[in-house]
Amino acid sequence: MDQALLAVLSFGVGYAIGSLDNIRSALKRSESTSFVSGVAKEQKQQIKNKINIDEAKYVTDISTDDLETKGGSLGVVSQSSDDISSAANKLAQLKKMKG
Amino acid sequence: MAKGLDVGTSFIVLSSETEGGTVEYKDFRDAFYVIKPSTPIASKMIEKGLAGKVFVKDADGSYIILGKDAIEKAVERNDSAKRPMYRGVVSSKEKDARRILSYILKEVAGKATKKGEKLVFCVPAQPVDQEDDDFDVGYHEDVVKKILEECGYEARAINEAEALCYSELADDDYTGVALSWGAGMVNVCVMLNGEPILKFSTTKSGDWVDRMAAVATGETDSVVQAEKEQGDFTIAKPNENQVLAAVATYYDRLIDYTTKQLAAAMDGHKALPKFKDPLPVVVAGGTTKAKGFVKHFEKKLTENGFPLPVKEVRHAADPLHAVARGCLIASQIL
Repeated sequence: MDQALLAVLSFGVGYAIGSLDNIRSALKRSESTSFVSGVAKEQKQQIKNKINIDEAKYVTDISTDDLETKGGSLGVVSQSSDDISSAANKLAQLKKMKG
Repeated sequence: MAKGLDVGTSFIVLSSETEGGTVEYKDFRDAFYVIKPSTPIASKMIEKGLAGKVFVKDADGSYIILGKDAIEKAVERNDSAKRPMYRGVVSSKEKDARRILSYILKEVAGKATKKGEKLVFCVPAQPVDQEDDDFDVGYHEDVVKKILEECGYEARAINEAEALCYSELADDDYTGVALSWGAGMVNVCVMLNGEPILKFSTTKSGDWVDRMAAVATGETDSVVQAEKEQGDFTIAKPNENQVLAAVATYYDRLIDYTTKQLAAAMDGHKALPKFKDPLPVVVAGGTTKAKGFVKHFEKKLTENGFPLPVKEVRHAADPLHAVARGCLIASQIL
C-alpha cells in the first residue's frame, strides 16, 4: 500500500516538475516572440510614417478648346516712355552684393 | 524679350519692353458674364445684340461676355458680373473660373515670342486675417504657371507687393514699405536693400467696399462698382448720392481696418530690423485711386500705431500698372 502511495506521489511530483519546465519554456518563447513582434511593429510604423499621401491639389488640363472666340481681341494697349533698365541694374547690383 | 504679368482679381495687366525703349501695357478687366439662350431664335438675337463686344460661345450654346463688357451687360440686366478670381486667387466659387481665367490669360499674354521666354507673374501673400484653410496660393500659382507654360513661357511667380517695391523703391535703395490695394486683398511687403523681409496680406479691399455699399443701398455689386469708378466722392466725406455716400463711409472703415491689421502684424515682428532712417510707404492699385486716399491712409497709419518710422506716404507713379512694371523689372534679373 505504502509502495503504491509512494509511486503515485513520485509520479505526481515528476509530472508537476515536468509541467513547470513546459510552462517556463513556453513563457520564454512568448517573451522572445513578443520582442520580435514589437520590433516588427515599430518598423512597420516607421515605414507607415514615411509613406504619406500627397494631398496637394493637382492641376489637371485646362482646356479652352470648346470656347469659340466671337468678339474682338482682349485688352487695351498703352505705352509709357519709361526706361526700366536703370532700375533693373540697380536691383541686380544690390542682389549681387547680398550674394 | 521678357514680360511681366499682374494677375489681379479685377485687372490682368501684361507689361513688356518695346524695341524703342518704352514699356507697353495691355490691360484687361478680369470679369465675365454668362447668358444662356432658351431657344435657337433667342441665341441668334443674343449674338446679334453682342456685336462689337468681347465674348465667346461655349460648347453648350451659352455666351460668355468678357471684360468690361461683362460688367456693362450685368448692370444692364440688374445683375452682378462674375470673376474668375476671388481674393487674389483662382475662384473656387465659380465652376468655370479656371477655364475662363485660362482663356483670358492665354489671350492677354499671347504666345511666347520664343520657347522659354521669361515671364514673371505676381501672386498674393498668405493673409493674416483669415483663420480658415480656404486660402490656397500654391494651387493658384500652379494653375497660372501651367497656363503660361502652355503658351511657351518659362513662368515664375513673385509676391505682388514685392513687385510693387521693385517698381517704386529704386530711388530709395530698394528700402521701404509697399502696399498693393487690389480688388480682392491688400498685399504688403517690407523691403531692405532689395530683399523682401516681410510679406503678408489682408483679405478686405475694393470688393469689400462694393459689397458693403451694395448691402447698405440695395444695389448690386456691379452697379456700386460702376458708380464708384465713375462717380465723384471723397473718402469719409458726405455725398448726396446714396451709393457714393456708402462707398465713402466703407472706404474709411477699410482703411481703418487695414492700418490696424498692419500695426498688429508688424508690431514686434522678429523679422523686422531696426531701421535707422524713416521709410517711404508706397501705395498702388485701383482701390487707391479714390479721392483723399493717401491723406486718409497716412492719418490712420499714425492713429493706429504703425510701428515703423515713416518718411512719407506716396502714390505709385502709375498706380494701375506699377505691379506689372515691377514684374517686368524682376523678369530682367531673376
